[in-house]
Amino acid sequence: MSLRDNGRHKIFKIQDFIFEKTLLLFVLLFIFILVGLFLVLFKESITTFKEIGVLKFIFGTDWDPDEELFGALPHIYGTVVTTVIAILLATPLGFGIAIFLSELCPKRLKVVIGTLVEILAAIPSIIYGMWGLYVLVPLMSKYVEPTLHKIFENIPILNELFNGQMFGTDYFTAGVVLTFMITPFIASVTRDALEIVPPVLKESAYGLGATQAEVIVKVMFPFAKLAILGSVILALGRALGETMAVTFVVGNFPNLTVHLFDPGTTITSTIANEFGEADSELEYSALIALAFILLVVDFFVLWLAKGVFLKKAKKYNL
Amino acid sequence: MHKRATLVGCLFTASVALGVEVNGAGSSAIAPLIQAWAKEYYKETGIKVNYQAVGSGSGIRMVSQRMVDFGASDAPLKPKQLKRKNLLQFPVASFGVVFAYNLPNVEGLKLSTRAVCGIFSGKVKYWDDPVIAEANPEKKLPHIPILVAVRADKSGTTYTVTSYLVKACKGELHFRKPSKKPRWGLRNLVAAKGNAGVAAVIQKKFGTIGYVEYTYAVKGGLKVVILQNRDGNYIKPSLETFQSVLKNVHWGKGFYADLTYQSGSNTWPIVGATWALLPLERKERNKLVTDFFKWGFSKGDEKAKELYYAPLPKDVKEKIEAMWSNYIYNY
Repeated sequence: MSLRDNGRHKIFKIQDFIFEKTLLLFVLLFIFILVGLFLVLFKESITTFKEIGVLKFIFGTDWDPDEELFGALPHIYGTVVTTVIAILLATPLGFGIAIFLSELCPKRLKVVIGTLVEILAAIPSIIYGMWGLYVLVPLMSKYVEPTLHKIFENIPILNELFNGQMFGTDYFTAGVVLTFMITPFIASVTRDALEIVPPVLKESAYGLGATQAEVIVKVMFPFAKLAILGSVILALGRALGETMAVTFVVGNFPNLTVHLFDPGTTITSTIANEFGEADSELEYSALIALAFILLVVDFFVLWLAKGVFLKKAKKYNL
Repeated sequence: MHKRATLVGCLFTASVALGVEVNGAGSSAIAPLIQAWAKEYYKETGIKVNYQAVGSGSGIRMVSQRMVDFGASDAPLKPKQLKRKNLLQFPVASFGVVFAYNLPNVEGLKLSTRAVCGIFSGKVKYWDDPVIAEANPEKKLPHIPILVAVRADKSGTTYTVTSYLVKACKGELHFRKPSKKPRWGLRNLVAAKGNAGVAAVIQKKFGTIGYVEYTYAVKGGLKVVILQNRDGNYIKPSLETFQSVLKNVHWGKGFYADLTYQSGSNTWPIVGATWALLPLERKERNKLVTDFFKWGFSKGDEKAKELYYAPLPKDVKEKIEAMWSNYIYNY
């Protein structure tokens, strides 16, 4: 008996060993790819950093391949602006949808609406881009942008923001398309997070005489804080790197302006537009340097979100 | 000589048996034509020609690094560059670029060279400007602002248009050199991705004028401008008027040629072409590539016209084939 047990024990041990090492291999593979990506992008950008200078490249405002002028600032600016617009619009929208689905929605509708929201998240970005160009752009230039412009006409700062050429292909439209793309992310993760709030917690709050709004804001959201923040960060990551949909509607014109209704460009759309036709080695390198910057920005955002915000959230709550 | 031919023949049949593939990459403008030819060619010979539309710049890079058997570029390389990269160059087919516009109730708009230059330099801002009205006395032009639709991505089409503009407008524009993506310096500008994107903008917005390859204007049902050419005649775009350039133009060393704004009474002023690039030292692979293009030149004209490309004239094809036998067959 004991001998046989021993034998089985050994087999289990070997199985465990193989299992563990295989999983480790998977993990290492991806770490290897990530490090490799960093190294390759860095190596190819060296030409740019050497010939133009790191700071001069990052803070340069002129981009004209014909004159060998490569400044990254308008592209970085565009990426940040479109992402900020999208996050500002998508966060309340996503939270609203999530609260409705988990708390207010009749049970029979819940599955249908929930699935629809998830399908929205799975639509390929080029479809959002085409829809943006053919449907959203004309609507924006004809109705939405002139209306917003009129509303904010007399309010300082905002009247500058909501101003520009209003052709429809601009920073604002790009932000709106991004909003539609990332809202489902925020909504579905937030809904899942709200649904795992223990009923006991909610019931005790109701027992103390809290209203539904109070329960949601003061009990459920604090409980699910981590997951909700996580969903916003996920969405942020997607918005930063989105290419096709933005390229269709952003106007594709390096433009440092506060006017949200003016055409602009983003890091990814510039790469998409110019990489295939890059003529000189310097231009090729400058485009890769743009990609390298995006990767660094992405890392920075993730670090900020995970390392700083989530740590704090952990400290005070869970 | 005969022995060599049999040997080549043997290699040839052997390669067919092995399922040999030829790989090309570059210009997206020529992609539909090469891919259509490749399909027919495969049916007839069993040789597969793969063509990736990665853009002219990437095509040049890939063939320079010998990653593909041939590259294709919408702008010819200068003889010096060819020598440095050890490449052979010849044109494949040409295409016309047209101005399309969206003005309700205005058909057959005529634009003089002066009007085009006015629009692209920003001096002409409204459709009823006297410079435009001059050539269209019988039409009622609306007083709406002109919107100029251009390509957002770097493109050979833009290069073709800007080389026409630079020559026709001499110093009036904000840019001085032909460019795949110039600084237009216009306020009334809409940029869209690809020929299809520009066509979509023109279709959707009143008052827009933009440039697209002829195919896209036809497919999109866009109204095209009747344009004044170098000789001063107003020309309707068609394959004949595109081809007329190819007959008159001077083909330089390495088939370097400038096809825009050439004289000729029936010559369309905005014509571009795509050039194929071959690595000179790869004799056996080059034979496979030139065999494909030889087939295309002799049997592919109808297909080209169907897709709105202007085939090369017979004498140009003969010159190209003579160059092949100089550089590739006689080794």
